[in-house]
Amino acid sequence: MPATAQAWSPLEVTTPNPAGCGPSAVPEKGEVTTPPASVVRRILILDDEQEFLDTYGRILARLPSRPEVRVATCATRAFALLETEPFTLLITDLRMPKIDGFQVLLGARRRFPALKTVAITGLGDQQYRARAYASGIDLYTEKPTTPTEIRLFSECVDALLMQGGQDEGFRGVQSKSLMDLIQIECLSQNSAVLRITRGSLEGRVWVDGGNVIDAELQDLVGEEAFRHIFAWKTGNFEILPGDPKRPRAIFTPYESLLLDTVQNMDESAAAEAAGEPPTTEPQGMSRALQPLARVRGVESLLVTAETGECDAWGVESPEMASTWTHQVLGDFQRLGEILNAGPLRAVEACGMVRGAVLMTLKGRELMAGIDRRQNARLIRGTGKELATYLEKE
Amino acid sequence: MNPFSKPKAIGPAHFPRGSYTISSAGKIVVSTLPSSFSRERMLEIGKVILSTLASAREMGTPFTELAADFAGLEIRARDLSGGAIIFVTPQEY
Repeated sequence: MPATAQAWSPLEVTTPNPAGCGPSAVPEKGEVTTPPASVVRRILILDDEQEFLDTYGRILARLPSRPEVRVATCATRAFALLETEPFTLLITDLRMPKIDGFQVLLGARRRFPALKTVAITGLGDQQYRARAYASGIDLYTEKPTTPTEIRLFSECVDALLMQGGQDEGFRGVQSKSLMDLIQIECLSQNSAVLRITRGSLEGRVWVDGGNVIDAELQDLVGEEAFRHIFAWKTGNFEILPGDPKRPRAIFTPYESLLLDTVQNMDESAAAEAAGEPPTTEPQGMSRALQPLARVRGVESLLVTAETGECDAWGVESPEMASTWTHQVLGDFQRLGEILNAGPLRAVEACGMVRGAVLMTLKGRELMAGIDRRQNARLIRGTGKELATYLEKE
Repeated sequence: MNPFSKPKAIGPAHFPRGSYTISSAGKIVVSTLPSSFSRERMLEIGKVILSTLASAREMGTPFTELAADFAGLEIRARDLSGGAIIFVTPQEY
């Protein structure tokens, strides 16, 4: 997801908009910044619930891309609007009386092929989801209810709006890159299998709860398969329901995985341009970290030896993280001595971005980044499991 | 010297159970801990908790909850807009 430097808050909205069925421009509160006509992006939201339209009309009008938002409570009106104004994005509820969201999506796909589409529903049904993606939508999501879900949803919508026309890409109905597809699935914390075909080749990428857990391409599996699939510039994709039984073979967080893969592709391209043979050395974790990375919930690892040598996986700045880990463990060990509280077993932390476990074992300092969905109790369990592995070595 | 006295067992001290709130300036706001647990100890814990939460924020990984698991004591803290509420619990054997 592209980062937006502009500060904004999707939650600074309190006054409902009294709009009826029909074209309804959603007013901004307090501020009006009109972008040039050439970059005006329009969103049409279709839902039979007026309250939803009022709330999300206002939230989306405040996105960094400053879209114009129109709303409609029935499909007939939505199509009338689509005929009269150029829209960038259609957001539609799936369950509506008379003409439902699927019919709207099929009609929109046929009549406005350049229109990006988002299906939104109160149901977390896998069959609904598969059917919606089969109709070529850009994003399927449950109606966001928490501030975090609203923020993620708003970021996804803004990213879709900011995407320009693409000459190459993967086509369901709309053009999109494989990176976009994976980011959308991961940010939405979805579980799905992406089936990607290119000529006679078929690759699959498994996403489970927002994590890329495996990939397969002919004889290749895991990160190596992912890198090969990712290198495809064009192809067709299909999004299949998630496969919870698929064992995890990729442990790198998806952000790092995408970054590593893009870097690898850039380096290979540069090497090819310089006349060097492309590198085939796999990028991944050291053998010593592999059993630790298999512990449920672990997203990144950093082990610092007494010599100061770091072994890291999925950590953006290992040196900085190692210094921080050393500092925190040292502070708590000194605190334990002052309090006469006995040896320090672990320091655990939970946050909105991720959790962490820090510990010292056999002279080595360990920091493990933990999945943000793990609560304090689960983080402690993960820490104990990691300690067991380290003690065995 | 009493030849019949047993030597004191060497191990972690015994701790009371309770909680206290510390402001972002490092001052104790309110406490349910008994007076046997000195203010100096509370301040020492608070200092380490606040500095750890602050350094995590600086690293771009803000934490809302922090726990230190010692052999004889568990310290658990929740971030309160720069301050923290800290729970002190003796470990059960």
